[in-house]
Amino acid sequence: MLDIQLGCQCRVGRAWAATLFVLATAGSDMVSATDIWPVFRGDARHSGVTERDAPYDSMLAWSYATGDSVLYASPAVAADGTVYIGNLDKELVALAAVGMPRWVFVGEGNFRYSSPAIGQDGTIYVGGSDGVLYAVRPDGTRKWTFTAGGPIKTSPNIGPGEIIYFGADDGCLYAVRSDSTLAWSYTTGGIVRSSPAIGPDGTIFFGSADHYLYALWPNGTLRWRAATGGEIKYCSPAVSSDNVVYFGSYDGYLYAVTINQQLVYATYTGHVIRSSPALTPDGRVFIGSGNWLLAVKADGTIDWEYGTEGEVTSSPLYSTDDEVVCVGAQDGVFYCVHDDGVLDWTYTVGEPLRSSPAPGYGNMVHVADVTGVLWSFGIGPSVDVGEREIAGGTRGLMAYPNPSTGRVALRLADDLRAEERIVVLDAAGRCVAVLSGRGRDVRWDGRDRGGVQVAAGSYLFQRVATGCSGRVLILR
Amino acid sequence: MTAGCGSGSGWRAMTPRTITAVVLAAGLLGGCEADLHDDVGPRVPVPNVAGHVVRAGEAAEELKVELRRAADATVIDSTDTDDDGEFAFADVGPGLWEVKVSGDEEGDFEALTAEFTVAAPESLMALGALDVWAYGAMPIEPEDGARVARPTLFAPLLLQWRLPSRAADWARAQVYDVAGEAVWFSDKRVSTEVTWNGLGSEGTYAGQFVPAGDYTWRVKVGFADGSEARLDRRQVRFE
Repeated sequence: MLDIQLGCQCRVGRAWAATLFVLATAGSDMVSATDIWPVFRGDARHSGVTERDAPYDSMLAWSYATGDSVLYASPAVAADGTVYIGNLDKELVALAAVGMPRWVFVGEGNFRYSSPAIGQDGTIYVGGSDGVLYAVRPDGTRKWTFTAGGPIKTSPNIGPGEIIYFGADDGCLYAVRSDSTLAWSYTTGGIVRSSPAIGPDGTIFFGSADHYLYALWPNGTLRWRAATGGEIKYCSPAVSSDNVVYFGSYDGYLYAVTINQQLVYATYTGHVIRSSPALTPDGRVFIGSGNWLLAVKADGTIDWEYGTEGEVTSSPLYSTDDEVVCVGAQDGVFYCVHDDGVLDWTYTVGEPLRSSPAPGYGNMVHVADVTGVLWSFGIGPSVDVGEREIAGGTRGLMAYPNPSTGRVALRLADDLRAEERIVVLDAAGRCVAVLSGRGRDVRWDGRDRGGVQVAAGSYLFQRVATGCSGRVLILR
Repeated sequence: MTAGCGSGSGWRAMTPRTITAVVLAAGLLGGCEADLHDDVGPRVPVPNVAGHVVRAGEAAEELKVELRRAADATVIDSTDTDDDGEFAFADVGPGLWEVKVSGDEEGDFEALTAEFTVAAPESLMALGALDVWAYGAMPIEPEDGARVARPTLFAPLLLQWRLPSRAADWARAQVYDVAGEAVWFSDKRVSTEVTWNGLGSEGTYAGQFVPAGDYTWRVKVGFADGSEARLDRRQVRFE
């Protein structure tokens, strides 16, 4: 395993920073068996749930200006942490987990509404405003295209048999085989911008601007449809493992309906719902409505509301491991709220967020703002390997980000005991700080023992008990 | 609106043709009392908002016109259109207002409203022509007095209507209970039908399925000039 220095153009806030060198690791230990977030909302059912850790705080790992304007398009994340996202510049961008661009695919229409979907063989599917579904190989080359009858502003989903489902502004839901041939299409009475979810039995659920939520059999025939009092647009349904479909409507209601047409509840939120629900294993739902992030109990009553300063059109991401729900808002703030409604942390992006967050490598979370900047929080690949063998057989402590403008995270190979300490030494060997912590994660705020920010330079971490050490470069 | 002058309705609402005469004659009319408090003689209401009503392009006379506060639809004043279809209101102060014209012939809208803003105390406002003719717009289904099953998600109520032949910007259906309380409003869009699943959106009905009983429904239509028209109400019973 080798440490390599990778240069990438990163943007933090509105200003382009100088080339930032990110310490990355090449090796198979970054690859998991399955993709991290292969489709919009994370799985075919659109549960919006991850078992991965969420970022512990608002520490920004990196940000990357993908191009112009990302609206509802949200990242898809492959097993190795590669992030795919499209933008207004007609580009589908692939970024390594460390924020380095891998390739850019250019289509004929823009991709700012459609989230990419990753197929079993790594093919990436994304819909364009030109009405074309693009299939792109993992190396960024075009595999095939399929032309629908109108702009595609939904996110493709992939069902059994590698059938790709997506809606279009011509009012149709399309089912396309992985060889680019049309399996079937179904026509509704309005444009389709609600992305299809697939139930455990293969039933396809999606909304239409004609006010209906549709349930189609896998062969493309109507199973049933449910009327709401408003358009279902941008809100995509989610299906629980026990076959309850959850969806919001512009009429302000959050609906829960069984696959057998029994209404479980209809909860009035008082605001248009554009956000898609996230489902917890115990039957709760998180969803955005108006300027609120709502938590709804299994019986349909509202458990709590967390208010923001802008509409929550972004769809929540729920981490079952940390019991944290994260969502963006039009006020330009990214929120992570504990599932009891208490704020965990926020990060002010400064531009409206309509895109929905996706988990990434380690405990990273990626989300795009409307100017096209992808923001990545948490601890990525360079620290997740923890204390590793490095050249010469020494075990090294890895810091992240590196370089850093101040705050630094360390992830250890095993839990730090209560009595254990990590010392921070400056280039002259003076001890500037002593760190303690519990568990595998230790933070340094970039300050010395007197609470003063340390000067720019190279600093050495040393785990006293084991002798493991590592360096971080502080920039000011 | 009428401070300083007697309560005769002729002072409160005037047609544009009378405005000048009224101003000239103000001091001569016995019905007015001098306002002695400011030493400038009797005050007369100054008509500063005028408009006219047509029916398919022809002057529409003797139609009731109300001046209402836009915020809560409180009626402040009322008058009738004259032979030329004209009307005017006096002393309309700064604020957001609306006029409501009620149709009275078959083929008319039930009512037509237009909002306007008076920016300063003595601003003069000339409203555009208000066309009370419905141009074929009418409710279709359910028929007046129909009895239908209470709507649900899977068996919604279909409301249908005909739009006016002149261009409309949007239409929306509205359902009210027998007391006139709003139950549900559909969204605004250019459409001739909408489905309703029985869930209320307004007032105490928000968040509730509508109970069985008697209701009315109507359609509101919006035009590019900002005016809004209401079609006739229909009765419906949910069983």
